[in-house]
This record gives sequence, structure tokens and C-alpha cells, in this order.
Amino acid sequence: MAIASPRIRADIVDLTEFPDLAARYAVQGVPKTILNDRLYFEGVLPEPEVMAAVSKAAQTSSGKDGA
Amino acid sequence: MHLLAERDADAVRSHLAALACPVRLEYFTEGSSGIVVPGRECRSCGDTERLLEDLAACSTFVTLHVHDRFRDPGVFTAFGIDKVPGLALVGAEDYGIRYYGMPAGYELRNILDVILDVGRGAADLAAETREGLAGLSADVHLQVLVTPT
Repeated sequence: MAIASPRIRADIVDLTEFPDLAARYAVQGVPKTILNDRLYFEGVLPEPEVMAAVSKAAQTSSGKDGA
Repeated sequence: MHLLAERDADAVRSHLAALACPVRLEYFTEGSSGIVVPGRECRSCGDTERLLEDLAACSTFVTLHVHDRFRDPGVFTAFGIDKVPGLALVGAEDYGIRYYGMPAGYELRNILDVILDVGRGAADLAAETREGLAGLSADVHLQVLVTPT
């Protein structure tokens, strides 16, 4: 997605190296994906569901959903 | 000392044989300058650098560039790197893809796939996804938290 859109930045973070992030984001299982530090989903989701989460994160950030 | 066993290096060479364009591995570390912060030493930075050296040696299209937090702070800022070990995978342009940690185990396979995608500047996405991405109204920062297995 980051390759396809300049709107997307993607970090892959190894929690064994950064255990503080596991605590910060209350990680119970991996992979856990955090979107704009506000939304998250766990596990590997189908592409349409990932896109839906990305759209929600963008809407939330731009205030379009009133959040 | 190599971190990739010869058999694994053969597999990496085979995987990266599909690469047809240059990919830069911009590696962000600390300690290579001889400066460390006591109690906050990066335990895996040295091994990660050796692993990336082995990986870069597997393809003429892959180059490794090493930046030290204390010697090259401006490069850290330019790439938005906030922790070490950090890796920016850069092709014809910087797509904003970073890996933090040591890409060992299953994550090495993922990194190889990212290198291929970055090299060709394209990802296999459905048309609906491309349409959705084109319509995004704000930036989105994804952090995918993983553990190597």
C-alpha cells in the first residue's frame, strides 16, 4: 500500500527488539497493526478489510467522521 | 563472519534474482561511531548490519548504506528514523517503508518480498484497493507489530 500511495507510511516493528511498544499498544498477539496511533486490528485480514481500516483511519484523521 | 549460512544465501540469491532495478538499504544504527549511551546499547545493531551485508552481497541491485545515530543525525531526521536498528527500503523513490529490528527468521522472507516490490515500484493490489488508496483524504501511518518466528 505504501508503494501504491504517497499517503501511506508503513513501519514493520519487531517487538522482541522494542518490548516497550508491546506494552504501549497492549499487544496480545501478532501481527497487530496500529493505524495513526489511534485505531488497530489484529491478525492478518483480507485486503478489503485492511483497506476499510485504512480508510477509517484517514477519515478519522481528517475529521470527516467527526472523531 | 557471515550471518547467512551458504544454503540460506543461495535461497536469498535465488529469491532476489527477479530484481531488475536498484534497491538501497539505508541502515540506521548506533555504536559504529564508537559512541554509545551506557545502559541503552543496541544489542542487535552489529548482527543486523552483518545480516544486511550478507543480504546485499546476494544481488548486484541491492546496496547497503550505513548511518550512525551520533555521526549522521541529519540522515536519521531526513528518513524519519526514531529507533535503532532501523532500515529504510528505497527504490526509485522512498515509499516510506521502514523495518525496525533485526529481520531474521520469517521476517527475512518478508523483507525479501518488500525488496522485490520496492525494486519494481509496484505492489500486487486489487483494483478496488488502488481506488480506495487514491481517494484517501489524509495520511495514514501503519505500524505492523511482529515477532520473528
